Amino acid sequence: MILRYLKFVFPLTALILLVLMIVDIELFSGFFGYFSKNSAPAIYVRDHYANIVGWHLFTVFIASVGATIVAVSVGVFVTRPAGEAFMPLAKMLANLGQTFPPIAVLALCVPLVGFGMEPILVALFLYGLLPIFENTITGLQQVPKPVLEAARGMGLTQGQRLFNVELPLAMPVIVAGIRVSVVINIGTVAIGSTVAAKGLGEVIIAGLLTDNMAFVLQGGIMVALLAIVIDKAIEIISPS
Amino acid sequence: MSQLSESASNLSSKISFDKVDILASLLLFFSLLGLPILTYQPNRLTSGTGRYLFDVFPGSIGVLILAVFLFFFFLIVRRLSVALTIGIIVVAMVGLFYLVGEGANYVLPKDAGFARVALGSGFWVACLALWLTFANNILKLRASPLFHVVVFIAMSCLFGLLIYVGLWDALSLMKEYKNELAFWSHARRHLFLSIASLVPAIIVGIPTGIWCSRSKIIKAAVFPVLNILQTIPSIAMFGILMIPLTYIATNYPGLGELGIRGIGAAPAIVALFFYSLLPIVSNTTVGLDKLDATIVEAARGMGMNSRQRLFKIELPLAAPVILSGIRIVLVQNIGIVAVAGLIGGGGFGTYIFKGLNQTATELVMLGAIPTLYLALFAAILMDSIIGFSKRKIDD
Amino acid sequence: MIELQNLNKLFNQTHAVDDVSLLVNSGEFCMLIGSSGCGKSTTLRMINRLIEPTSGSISINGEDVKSVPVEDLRRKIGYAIQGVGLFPHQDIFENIATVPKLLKWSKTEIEQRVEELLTLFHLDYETFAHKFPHQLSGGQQQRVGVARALAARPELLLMDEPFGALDAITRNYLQDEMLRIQKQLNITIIMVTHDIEEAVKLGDKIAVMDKGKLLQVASPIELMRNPRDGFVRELVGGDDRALNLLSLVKVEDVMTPIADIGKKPQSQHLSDKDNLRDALSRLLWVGESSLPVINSEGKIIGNVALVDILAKGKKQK
Repeated sequence: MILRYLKFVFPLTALILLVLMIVDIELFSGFFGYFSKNSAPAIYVRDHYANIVGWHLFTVFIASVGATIVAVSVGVFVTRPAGEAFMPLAKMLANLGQTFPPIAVLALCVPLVGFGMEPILVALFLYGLLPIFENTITGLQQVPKPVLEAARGMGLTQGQRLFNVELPLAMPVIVAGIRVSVVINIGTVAIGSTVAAKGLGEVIIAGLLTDNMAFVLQGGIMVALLAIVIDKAIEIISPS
Repeated sequence: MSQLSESASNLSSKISFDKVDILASLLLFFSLLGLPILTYQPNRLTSGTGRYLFDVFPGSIGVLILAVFLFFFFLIVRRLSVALTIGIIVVAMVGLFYLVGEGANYVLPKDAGFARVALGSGFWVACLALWLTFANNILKLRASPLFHVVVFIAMSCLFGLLIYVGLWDALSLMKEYKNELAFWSHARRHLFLSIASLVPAIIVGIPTGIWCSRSKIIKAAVFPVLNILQTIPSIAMFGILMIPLTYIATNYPGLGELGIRGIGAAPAIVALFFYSLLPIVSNTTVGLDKLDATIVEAARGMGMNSRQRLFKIELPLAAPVILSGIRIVLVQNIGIVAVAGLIGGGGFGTYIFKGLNQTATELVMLGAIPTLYLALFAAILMDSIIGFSKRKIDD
Repeated sequence: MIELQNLNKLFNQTHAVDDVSLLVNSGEFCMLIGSSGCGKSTTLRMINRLIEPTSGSISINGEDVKSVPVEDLRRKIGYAIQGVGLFPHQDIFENIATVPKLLKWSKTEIEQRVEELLTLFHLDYETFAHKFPHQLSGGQQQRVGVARALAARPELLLMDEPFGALDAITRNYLQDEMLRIQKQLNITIIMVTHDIEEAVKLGDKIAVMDKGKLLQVASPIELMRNPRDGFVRELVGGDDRALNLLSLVKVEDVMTPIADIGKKPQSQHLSDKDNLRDALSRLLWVGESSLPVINSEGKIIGNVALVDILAKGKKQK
């Protein structure tokens, strides 16, 4: 009973804190002031937090949409007879995407696409592929054979089977993969600020550069809150 | 009649194509013809101009090289025996390595001064293509997991040797390497940091995971905390950890001398320890929770006590899942250690951030490529160990 | 001798087992039967204390099961279950050797015992000892499961629907094997089943349970002839009952012997070991009112008439 209650109270508290921090960070200046030394500013004011959080989420959103489109399409392709030959290789590539450290991918992208948002988009895209791809394959493969057989027997075409039977049945698993991917990326996107991407990472970096722990803490706490809130939000809207 | 159909089926199996190999071959030709295999920079910090295969090796030599590659790929697409195909691919890889190394000498003027020659996008895409077909054929062997490790080490030695004997000395990347005398000490540090946090994480994580699978209440208390730890960005975690560690170092000078300081290795190791906990704990819990209930029931019914069940039945059966958790952690650590370069933690990240600051691409690569390599090696090694632990359970 | 006394088990206010008392003699094959959820498995699992009763007591040979440490108790009682539960990471030898190892038998003793057991179950030692469970068929796995349960020479064997997941032919074969082995080793077996045919075929004693209560305990014949009203009657098959009853009696028990033994049968005949159900079926099929009976050597030893069979199927006062 208490556990079920806590499950909602916890993300709700996170949401309220996050909204308060975005709307008026000055409310917390007392708390953060405790961590700033030598009368350094306790609150990051170079940009409004609504803007910073907006960029943070926008970056994750773009990368996740891209990763979802690619991972789901490839997942569907390699589970069709025509694409079966690519299955082991696709699995290996997706695996590699998560093996390659995002910071290394990020750094290698800078010469190709320049500083800013683009390198972190590439890094997040690659890093986020695997959970979605794996779950797409699992979801599609665990559609019960009799259901598919029945759909075939009723005269559904291959496309109809995919869109009316297989994908809807696999959807909860796929969404679970997207959820994992998005939550990982909300944390990972912060390193993008080492190559001048906008987002909460810039607050943290500013703190590290000026040795101002108040900034580091602000950025870190807000990223964590964001992850908790988004995780719960996807859980609520996901089909069961 | 039957003879006829037999020869017909032989024929069809001979001309059936491997889709992946074809794709890789097309990619290789596109990269060799359509992308610069090298770039020329008047000095270290300017961006370069591309040099195509036919720029580097003009006229007949270029045509010859292309023809040789064409021949190799004709052989691969023909579907010879897998072992032979792999051999051909390795030869083609060595050829490509030699090509760019030798090409750099052609491109570089004799009185070069500050001029540099770097690897171009054509080389990288060609590498990707060759690697794709290589991996595709290696996977076809369905060999033991150990074999993959052996292949990886053998390939590392082969290409390491080519670079060691000076094949790439004209390339900018090697010039950066020769400038950086601390490269191998950074490499050792990177490895040390990646592994140092793993041991305590295993020692704490596995018992915690066992505990979580035994008690729902513990699980409900532990998992949210670990989940939050995991979402804190690494750069913030390093920063946040500096607060208590600086405090410790200033108040207990003895500990400070032991290396517990606000910057450097200590925050990195502590941060990595925190990041390592979730994958290990959650995989241990999942591994134990999803065990076949009848097996555990049988063990109980036969009079095994809970310790005997845990060590003889449950942990061995959950081992592959637990090991996958350790795999995630090891690979993840190698990446996060690179981020520690930002706070003076050492390792390959030092070069990445130095390179980014100076916009020196080749210096970034000197940090990023070894990081990728280490992560890849860790993944293949762990996959092999996981494969072994699985072997007995389900073939 | 196993004695259950006023056994009760409550799961969240529901009576899973409701005041069950049962006595199983040494060397008996006792079947616990009932539909799923009737408490039969719970009852069985309380014997080796996989589940602790809410109240009541269980004793084996007069000794309360609570008087020995629970692991020691379980090591002395064989236990075989439907999913088999072979350890997938251990080969057949290691699986069977589990309890002997726990009991710290010597190496040679264990080897001897495993070989003995595999032979008992018609599994070749050389072929099977070092195979892994997934390399065996379902029937073979189940035989190893029972062999493993018998490894430490228990006097009591508990079986929870061990053959439930097998096909009819394999199940039949393993049932015959169990009968043979039980006779050979002279052990006590308590087996849970939901299949009345299995219960009648294997049991010396059948205990029928429904909704946690023990409704009737009787020998198979007794159960067929005088089932209690309600669930038990339904279980033994309302109108089929007569036929089920006939299947328990052999032709030799009702035939009229003849004087001049030794003749070969002319045409249609019955065998002395056939059961009456099959005999009745044959008589009806060939349209005769009686047929000669032959023995295992193929010689006529008597006659059996339709009326004799019909009398046996009648409800007895």
